[in-house]
Amino acid sequence: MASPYGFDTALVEQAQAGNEAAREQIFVTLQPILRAFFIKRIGFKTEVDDLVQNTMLRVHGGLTDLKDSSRLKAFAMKAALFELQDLYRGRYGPKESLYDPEIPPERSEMSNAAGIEVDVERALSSLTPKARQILELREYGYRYQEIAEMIETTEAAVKMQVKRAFERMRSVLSVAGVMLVVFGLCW
Amino acid sequence: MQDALDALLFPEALTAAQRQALQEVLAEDEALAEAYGHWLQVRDAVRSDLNKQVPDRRLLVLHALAVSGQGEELTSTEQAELDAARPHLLATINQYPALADVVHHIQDGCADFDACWNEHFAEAPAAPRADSLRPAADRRAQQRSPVRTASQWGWRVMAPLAVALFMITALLIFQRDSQMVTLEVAEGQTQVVELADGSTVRLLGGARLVYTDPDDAATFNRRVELTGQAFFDVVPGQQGFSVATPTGVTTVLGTSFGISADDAEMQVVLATGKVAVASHAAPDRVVVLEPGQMSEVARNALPSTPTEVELSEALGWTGLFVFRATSLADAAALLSERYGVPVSVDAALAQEAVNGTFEQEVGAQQILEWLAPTVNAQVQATADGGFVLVP
Repeated sequence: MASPYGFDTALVEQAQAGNEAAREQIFVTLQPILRAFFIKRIGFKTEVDDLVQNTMLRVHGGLTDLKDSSRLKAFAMKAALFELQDLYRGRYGPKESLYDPEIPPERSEMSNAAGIEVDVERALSSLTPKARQILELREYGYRYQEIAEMIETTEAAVKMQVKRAFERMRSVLSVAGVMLVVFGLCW
Repeated sequence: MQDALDALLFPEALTAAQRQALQEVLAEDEALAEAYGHWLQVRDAVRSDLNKQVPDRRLLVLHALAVSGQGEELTSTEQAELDAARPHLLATINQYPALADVVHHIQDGCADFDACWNEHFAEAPAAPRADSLRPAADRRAQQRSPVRTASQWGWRVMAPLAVALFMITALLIFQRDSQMVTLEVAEGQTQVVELADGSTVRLLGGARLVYTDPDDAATFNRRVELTGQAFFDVVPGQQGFSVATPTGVTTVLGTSFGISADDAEMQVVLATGKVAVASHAAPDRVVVLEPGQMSEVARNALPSTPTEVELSEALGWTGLFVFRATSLADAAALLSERYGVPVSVDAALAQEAVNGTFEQEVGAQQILEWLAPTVNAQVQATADGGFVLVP
């Protein structure tokens, strides 16, 4: 939807031409908009500061290349949406999580501890579509509360699905593991 | 077993000691450890493949815009990128149906951005214009460029570390300056202060409060200065109670609210009563908050439009649960999430409203024991290690 509100294009053009005052005017105005947006998207979380900061740096770095000065809103919106995607991606990645309380203990070691290569497809096919949807969204980077909002249910219901998925996968993979061992002995 | 499973799958509330205990459970229960290892392998494989199939998540944003009729928001370069990636992107969405949910979520984000943008410009005194620019020297004194903001952000991160190193043994520093007291709380500490009128302030680590000497009630003018994070519980009084931060002033009569403030901005979250928030730059342009609302004041900017927040979440940094007309079901869900134990509520009680402010460190059971009598309920332990509230 086109907005009747926005920046004066002359101001944007001055900022693009290197006018520091115009740049500062734009960023002072953008900051509360971005903050309100991120709070609306992820709540009143500590990550909001970083998201605002990184988005402003994105806009700062790309402003000169903005071809249409009337498109600053779209430019800022995309920068904010890109930042959110980076946030989700970085949540559970090993590099980014020096310490994240949502990361299970010793995850990297535990995932290799079983010693048997898991049949991922078989494991996933054992899940209900809902459970698989939740697992995929979680691994994409969403928190359970966010997933609950996305699929219009409660967080408790999402976690119940996760527990059932774990038990289901445990049952399927333990049978598969036993068969693998038996098959190996016979061979 | 059920406790260990909950802890494994939802470890967000685990303390270091609980994590250690979990490691010991896994060391003893090989079957559980193996199942957990399999579980992690599957999850790692899904995450790894998602990252491989969608290495550039910007494309999902561009796709979301394009399919929602906002293709004009893409630059020609972005459109070309999307066109080239579309066949593989659609195949990946087909392979991982949850990506369709992600696309919808991004589209919701576009609508939210639009709303925030329009709301801001509808309320601003005037849209920023090129001809409104003042001399650069004036602005430099009052405004921050993004680059300077970045360095200040770095300083904000480093400062607490430096303070922690040099003040590790100093919990409190009192400086008496005539009748004023300056209280600084060391990082990682929490301090509750009672003021001369009986109001209390719960100060979080790094906070600095300047107030009248509590031993001299006659001089207390119900005005304090704050930098950092604090939760105020103000007793009613004839005179307004005001909290000044570097960017603005919050004025109340009798209420409870949280303030998080640094040199650049402050955020006010109201739990009860009513507060008026204004910036130093425009003290007559106040925003009035209702319970459950939040507003922010950046330096030289007007207070933001109040937004609705979930109190216990918005005030989570205080170390408190703040329930104000909160449904028992919501309170139970919050406790369950925070402590990682199942907490359920009989259907007859689910919509009962509860009120109260509780220290998080006392634990789920104690808080439930306090809440139960207010709704004529009883707390019962469940077989899975959780609790249920019944009439």
